[in-house]
Amino acid sequence: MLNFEKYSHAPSLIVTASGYILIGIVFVSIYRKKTDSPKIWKAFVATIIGSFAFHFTINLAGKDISIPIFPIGVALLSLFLGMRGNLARWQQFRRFAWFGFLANLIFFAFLLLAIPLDGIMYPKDVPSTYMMNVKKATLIATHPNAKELTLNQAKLEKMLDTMTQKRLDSESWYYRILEADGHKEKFPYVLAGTVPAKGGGLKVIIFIEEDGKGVLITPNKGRQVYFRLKESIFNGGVADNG
Amino acid sequence: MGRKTKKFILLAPVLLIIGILSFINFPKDPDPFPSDEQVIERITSFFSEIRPKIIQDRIFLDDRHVFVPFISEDDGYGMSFWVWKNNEWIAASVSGGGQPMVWNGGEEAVIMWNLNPKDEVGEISIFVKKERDFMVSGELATYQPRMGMMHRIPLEGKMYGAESFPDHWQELIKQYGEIQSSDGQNEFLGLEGGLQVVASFHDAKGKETFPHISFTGNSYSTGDEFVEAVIQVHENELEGKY
Repeated sequence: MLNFEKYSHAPSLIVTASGYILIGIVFVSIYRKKTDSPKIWKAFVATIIGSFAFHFTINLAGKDISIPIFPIGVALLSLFLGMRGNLARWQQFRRFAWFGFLANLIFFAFLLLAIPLDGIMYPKDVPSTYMMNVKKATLIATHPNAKELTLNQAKLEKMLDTMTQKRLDSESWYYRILEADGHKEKFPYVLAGTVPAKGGGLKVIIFIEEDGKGVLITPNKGRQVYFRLKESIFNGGVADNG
Repeated sequence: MGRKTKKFILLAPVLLIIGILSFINFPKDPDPFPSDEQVIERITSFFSEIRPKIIQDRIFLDDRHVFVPFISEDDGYGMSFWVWKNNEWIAASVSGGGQPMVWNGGEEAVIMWNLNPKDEVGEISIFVKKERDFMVSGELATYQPRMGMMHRIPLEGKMYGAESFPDHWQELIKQYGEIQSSDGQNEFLGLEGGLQVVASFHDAKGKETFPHISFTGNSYSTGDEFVEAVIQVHENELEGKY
C-alpha cells in the first residue's frame, strides 16, 4: 500500500474509505446473489481470511507500493473447509475467500488513485498549496547580506494569487553568485510561520528572494518550486536594482 | 490436596506477579540530583582518565537533563552532561575540555561550554549555517540558498554556561527537521545534513582567538548521542560580514 506514514493524508484517507465502501457493496451483492450462501458473519470471516496474501513491495516514484501476489488465505481456507472431501462446504465459501483476495487488488488500485487525487486537491503549481494561511508570517534574515527589512503581511496575502511559477534556474543562480564580488545570496530570507494547505501532509521551507519578489519553496515531498511576484512583499518597497 | 499445597497454589501466582513487576522498570520522576561527591565518584569510576575535583555548577536544562561543569585535579576545565534515564542519573557524556557542545533533544537546542580561563576568551559567537548547493537532473532542478546566522554570547568573566538558541533559529531547525522525508528525495533537494552549528571566539579586545586549551582533552559518551561537539570556524571562512 502507499506509504504516507506519519502524515494524515486526506487523499489517502479518501481513497481508503472509498475502497472499503466499494468492497462492502460488492460483498453484499455477492452474498445476495446465491441462495445457498452461509451465515453472513461466516461469509465475512471467510472474506477476511481470504484477504491474507503474500505481498510484493515495489517502489514507485519514491513511494512503497505492495501488490498482493499469492492468496495464502484462500489456500488455507480451501484446505481446511475442503478437508475430508467436504467439497460442498468449500464451494459455499469459495467466492467469499476469493473476493477477500480481490479486495487487496481493489485497495491497490484505489491507492494508486491517491497520487492523481493528491495532485488535484493540492496542486503543486499554486502558492496557496504551500502557504494557505500567511496571517502569522514573519521574515527571518538567514544570510549576513540580508537587509533589515520587515514583511508587508497584508501585501503578501493580497499577492498570493498573483504569483506566477517560473523556471528554477538553479545552476545559473549558483554560478552568478560565485562569480560576483561578495557572494550575495539570492535568497537571504526565510518566511516562517505560514501554514500549508491542511490534509496534504505538506511541510515546507519558504525562501524569499533579496528583492522581495521571488519565493522559493522546498517541500518535504515533490519538487521545489519557484514563484515570482509583481511587487515586493517587503515594507517600504525595496529598490528595483535588487 | 494438603493445606500446604493449596496455600502454595494460591500464593504462586501472587509471587509470580510480584517477581515480574520487580523486573519491570516503571518510569519514575527524577530523583534529587546526586551530590558533588557522588558526581565526582561516578565520573571517575566510568571515565578513569577524567578526575573532577570541584563541581562548578549544576545547570538544569529541563527536569531530566543537567549540565555539570567541573574543574579537574590537573586544573583542567571539563564538562559532563547528565540524563535521567532508566530511573537513574547517568553521565551520558563527559569531556576533559570545555569545547562547546549542543544538546538538541529538548524543546529548544541548548549550547553549553566551559572554557579554560587561560584561553582568555571574552565572547563566543555561534553560527548556524548551510552551504549553498544546486542540482540539475533532467527536468528537475533544485537550489539550496546559503544560510548563515550569528548569535553572540558575551562571557563577562564567567567561563562556563548554557544558553538556548534564539527563537528564530529554533524555528528554522524545526522546519528543516520537518521537511526531512523518508521517500528518498532529500538528495535532490540538497537537504541532507540539516543545519550545521559552528562557533568562533574573541578575546576581550575583540580579536579572533582560538581556545587551544579548552579544545584539548578526551571526551567520552555512553553511546547515546545526547550532545554534539561544536567545531570552531575561522570567520574568514564564512561568507559575508557579520
